[in-house]
Order: sequence, then structure tokens, then C-alpha cells
Amino acid sequence: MQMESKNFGLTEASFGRMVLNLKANDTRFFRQVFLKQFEETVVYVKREYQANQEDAYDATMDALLEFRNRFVEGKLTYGNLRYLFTKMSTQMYLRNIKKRHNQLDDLEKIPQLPKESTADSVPESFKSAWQTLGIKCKELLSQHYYGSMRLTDIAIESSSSPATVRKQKERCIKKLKEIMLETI
Amino acid sequence: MNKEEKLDTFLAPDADMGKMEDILKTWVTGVNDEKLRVEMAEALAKERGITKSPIKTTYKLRLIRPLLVAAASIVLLIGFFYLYPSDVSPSHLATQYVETQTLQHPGSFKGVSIVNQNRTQGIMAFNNGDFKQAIIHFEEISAPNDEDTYYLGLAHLKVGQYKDAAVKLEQSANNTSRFHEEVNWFLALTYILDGRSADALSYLSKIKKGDWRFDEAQELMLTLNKIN
Repeated sequence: MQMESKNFGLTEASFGRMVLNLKANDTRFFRQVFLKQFEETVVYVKREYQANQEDAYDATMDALLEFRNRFVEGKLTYGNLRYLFTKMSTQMYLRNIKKRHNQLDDLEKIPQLPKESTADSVPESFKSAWQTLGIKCKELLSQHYYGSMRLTDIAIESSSSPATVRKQKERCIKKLKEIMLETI
Repeated sequence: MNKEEKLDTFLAPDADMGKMEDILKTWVTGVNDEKLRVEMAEALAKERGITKSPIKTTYKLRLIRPLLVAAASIVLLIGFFYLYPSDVSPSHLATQYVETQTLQHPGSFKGVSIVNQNRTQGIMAFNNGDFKQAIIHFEEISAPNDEDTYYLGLAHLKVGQYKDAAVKLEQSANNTSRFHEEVNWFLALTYILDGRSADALSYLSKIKKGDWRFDEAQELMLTLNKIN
């Protein structure tokens, strides 16, 4: 019971199930688990750092996305997730504040900033191609790239063979490139 | 690499696969994170009354939705498995696996540019479940590639020509690692059905945890060891 309270009320088995769902890009259970935790963390960040609602909210949301990422990559295990989440949210808050200050400094130095400056931002051509891409391709690519699911595991889940899944992935990427080239 | 360089790299006709994988991971993560951010914000506002803006709203608690139906199905399946433990022969199990396995040829792999009439017809027959016809066409291919050999092996297995299946699948295993997970599994089934238990065990033991059909391989090994 004590362990569950340290881990968002999850048993180790239900934690495992949540990670498996996330790998398959099913975020429903994850969202339910974090609904309560989100509120608690926002309150904590506001109280400890005198943060406003907007900043505390953004920091908690950033931590949530990072948590999902670490779950699927196997970098976070069952232990004291509640503490880690609070810690990460405060770190995100401090990072966001620092980033904002740096940006303000940059604005003073550089007369005109480029529209996009982050190396990891997603190009518009990809975003619109993604919208057009078939649901099966989106599901497969999301499971593999977003859920860090191995093609073999996708094959097991979809009752097909790894070779078929590999081929489907190749086709999806080809299709994605074709749509992007049409729109550029 | 900045955004433009990533875009150019990704769209290049001779794009490096490793770089493409990294770029795709970033982009797919970007679009899915955005989707999750929106979904979470909606759920927070709707179910907990929490919004980004500091406006105080009334909290509306809702009952947590029932757990996934899929999870229940899995529990049922596991329960069924334990209630009715496997007491069947390895060949019976192998036959079941071969019969229930949906086999689809995904089409020619990357790099195959020469259109071969027999290959096309073979693939069509294979995907229609007409494995006898598929064998005829695949065997007519003058210079079969690794993929042709592998699917020819599967077609032989499907029609019960186990010796031919073993030859082709062994050939495939020796020539390429592309299908190694599948070949380990299908060769094991082939040898069970051909009465060569020792060879079957040898291939089943190559199926490691995390590989395709690991659980089934373990079950078959257990069954084979029981009768040996």
C-alpha cells in the first residue's frame, strides 16, 4: 500500500500495464493516472516557487511528456515515481524560466529572430503529411518511434511476422516522403 | 542539424537510413506529444476543472472509466490456458500453429527492381492462400532471391511438403538473416511435423526471450521434452 501511494496509486503490475499501453500508443490509462497527480504537482510548484498558474501548468505538462518518454524507453522503473514527478516538474519550471530569460536577452541582442530556432521542431510539411497519412501507418510509426516498440513486438501484437511489419514500415515512410514532396 | 538540414536529409532520394530513423523519431515524437498535450489539457479541464489560465472553476469529479476490455480478454485467455493445460502432442500443436498462422507476402522488398511475372503471380497466389499454385510460380523464377526462397519454403510447409519446406527454409537461414526470427519458428514447426524432434528442439532453443513466437516456442519445447 505504501509503495502504491509512492507510485500514483499503481501496483507494480498495473504500472507495467500502463507502460505496455504507452508503448502501443494507447495513452488513456496514463492520462487517467496523471489527472490527480497533475493537480497536486501544479499546487506544489506554485507553492514552492511562487509560480503562477500558467507556468506551473506548463512545467507539469512538460514533465508529464518527459515521463511518458522515459517510461517507454525503460528509463523509469517502479519505485518512487511520485517524488520523481514532482522533482522533474520543478526542474522543468526552472528550465522554462531560464529559457525565457535567455530568449529575452537574445531579443535585445538580435534585432530579428528567425521564425524557427529550435533544432527539434517539426516541419510544417511533416505535420500536414502526417495528417494525410493513413491510420495504420500512423499507428505503426507511432508505436515504433513514439512508443519505442520493437518491430518484432509490433508483429506479435498484430499477429503478423516481423518481415511484414518491416515492409509496412518501409512503405509508410515512402508514402510519408511522397506526400511531403508533393506539398513542398 | 537544424530543421532545414533535417528536412533535406530526410527527403533525399539516397537518404541514410540511420539518420532518417533519428529524424523520424524526433518528428513523430513531436506530433504525438502535441496530441497528448491537447488530450491531457482537455481531460484536465473537463474532469478536474484545471486550466492553464488562473480562472477558478468548479471541480467536477467523475468516476474513473472501467479498465480496458482488452486487459480483461487477456486475463480470460490466460485463465483458459491454465484451466485447460496443454495435453496434446507436439505435432498436433505444430499443425494448429501452421493452420492458424495467417501468412501474407508483403510484396517485393526494397532493391528488387526487376519485375518477374512468376514472382508477381507467386505472390498473388500466396496471398490468396493458394500455396500449391504459389509453389509452381516461385519454382519457375529463374534467379530466385532470398525472399523467394523463404516464401517458397513457407508455401511447402503450408501444403504439408515438409522435406521441401525444410530445404528451402534452411537455405533461407544460411543465405540471409533478414527472416531469422521467422525461420527459427517455421523450421521448428517443419521438423516437428517431419518427425525430427531433435532438429526442432535445436531451432526452438534459438528463439530467445523477446523474439517473435517466444512463448509458443517455450510451450512447444515443454511438450517435446515431455515425450522425449
